[in-house]
Amino acid sequence: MKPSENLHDDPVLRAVGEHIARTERHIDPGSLSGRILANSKATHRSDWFLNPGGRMARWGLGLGMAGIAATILLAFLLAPSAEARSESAIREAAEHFRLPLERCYLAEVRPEGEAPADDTLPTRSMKVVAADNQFRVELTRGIIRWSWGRESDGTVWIASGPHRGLRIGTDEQGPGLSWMAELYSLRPETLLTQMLGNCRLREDPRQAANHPRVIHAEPRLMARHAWLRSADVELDAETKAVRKLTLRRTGRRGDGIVVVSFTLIESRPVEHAKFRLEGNISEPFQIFDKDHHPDRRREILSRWLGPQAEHWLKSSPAKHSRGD
Amino acid sequence: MRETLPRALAYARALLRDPVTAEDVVQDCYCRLIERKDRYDLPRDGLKILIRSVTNACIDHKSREKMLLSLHSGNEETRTDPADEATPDPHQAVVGRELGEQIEKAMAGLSVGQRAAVHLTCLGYTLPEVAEMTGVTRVNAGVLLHRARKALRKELGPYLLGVDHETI
Repeated sequence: MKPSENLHDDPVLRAVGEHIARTERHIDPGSLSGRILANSKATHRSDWFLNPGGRMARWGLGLGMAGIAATILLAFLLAPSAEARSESAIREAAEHFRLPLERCYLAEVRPEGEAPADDTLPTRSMKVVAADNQFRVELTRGIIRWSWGRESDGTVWIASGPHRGLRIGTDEQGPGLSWMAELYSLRPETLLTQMLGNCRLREDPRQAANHPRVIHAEPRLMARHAWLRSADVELDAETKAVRKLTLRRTGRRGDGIVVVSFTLIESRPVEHAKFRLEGNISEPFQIFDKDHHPDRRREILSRWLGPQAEHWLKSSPAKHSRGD
Repeated sequence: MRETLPRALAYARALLRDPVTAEDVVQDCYCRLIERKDRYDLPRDGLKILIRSVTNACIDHKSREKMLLSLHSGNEETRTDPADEATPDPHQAVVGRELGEQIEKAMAGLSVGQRAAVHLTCLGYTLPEVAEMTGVTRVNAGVLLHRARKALRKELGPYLLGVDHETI
């Protein structure tokens, strides 16, 4: 290029420049800017998205609220595309979870490729009850019933009998237990917000108006290292409430895919006591924890889980326990 | 964002030739910029930083793609997109084709670095700015632009002026 040459006199560059300007004019920034704003809000939770075992990041309230407001405004101003309509439905579904209710789901976990459990077998039932950042799992196998859950500070409890329970602190949880806790911890509002920012949404336009809407979400290019492989969100056609959530997620050791599905059974006012161990056992009770007969926990877990118990409770230095 | 996003997206599309991946790249670049907003003077430098970030992301993406597909080997002069061997004579090609399509096709024949240099020049950036935003030396930017213009003249010259490219 000659130093004195004025590039803008070049007819080829001028034509390319005009073409670029035309292309820019035809770009509708609505849907993408909505996602960027949603993502900027969701970024504050990205630790959880990338590594659900990590601590929940704090909300960037100012940016987040601005993001929500701008996203809603954009949704009104711009004619919605198919993806924008799906985003709008997911946003409405996320709104539902802000109501102070606990939600009870029928849960199923299976490795991908395995057939779903046979519904005609009445002996197996697993319910997950979730509210805010805490959950509990209720298992029924024939006549055996037991429950376990995670409190909002991350402590896991297990009601091992009507009058006996274990409590395992966050620093004592082995990889198996952490994985199980993450598998069942349902944070639908966070998950849906993450989908808005990090996933490409798709739904079958041929679905009948009175049928539930099923929105398929797949992480975008830049979020493909995340634990979530894909998700199907089934929404009630009228209320936009989530009826079923099916997650395909990376297996525990990073290989294989696990399919987790949560089907909503009911929503009801939060019963806070039930999210704590004491609310699931009756007086007089015995609770084994880090300070009270810690080794009994391993013994009880081994009886249930066999060698797997080692993955639930970390080995700790020998510690003298207090008597009963 | 409403002002800068179409520019960034058009630029990413021009570099990647894939609107879906371009959206992902731009979204990621915006998010990273928003995350680091405290470090930059966004009202003053925002677009430049964004363009630089999009350039890097697109080049990274293209490099990864190239490693995976191994469509071509060679240096910057090598086309990163497969050339259409069935391209008709330019005089025939212009018949019934829109200018935009011709430009798109001609741009697709350039390497990602050349596309970046042409695109940014057309947006009004000077050569030192192009060099800064694409992360190459000023001399390299000049070479990229020179080669790109030569290739574009060859493809578009007959269509734009109805004369052979050597006479432009």
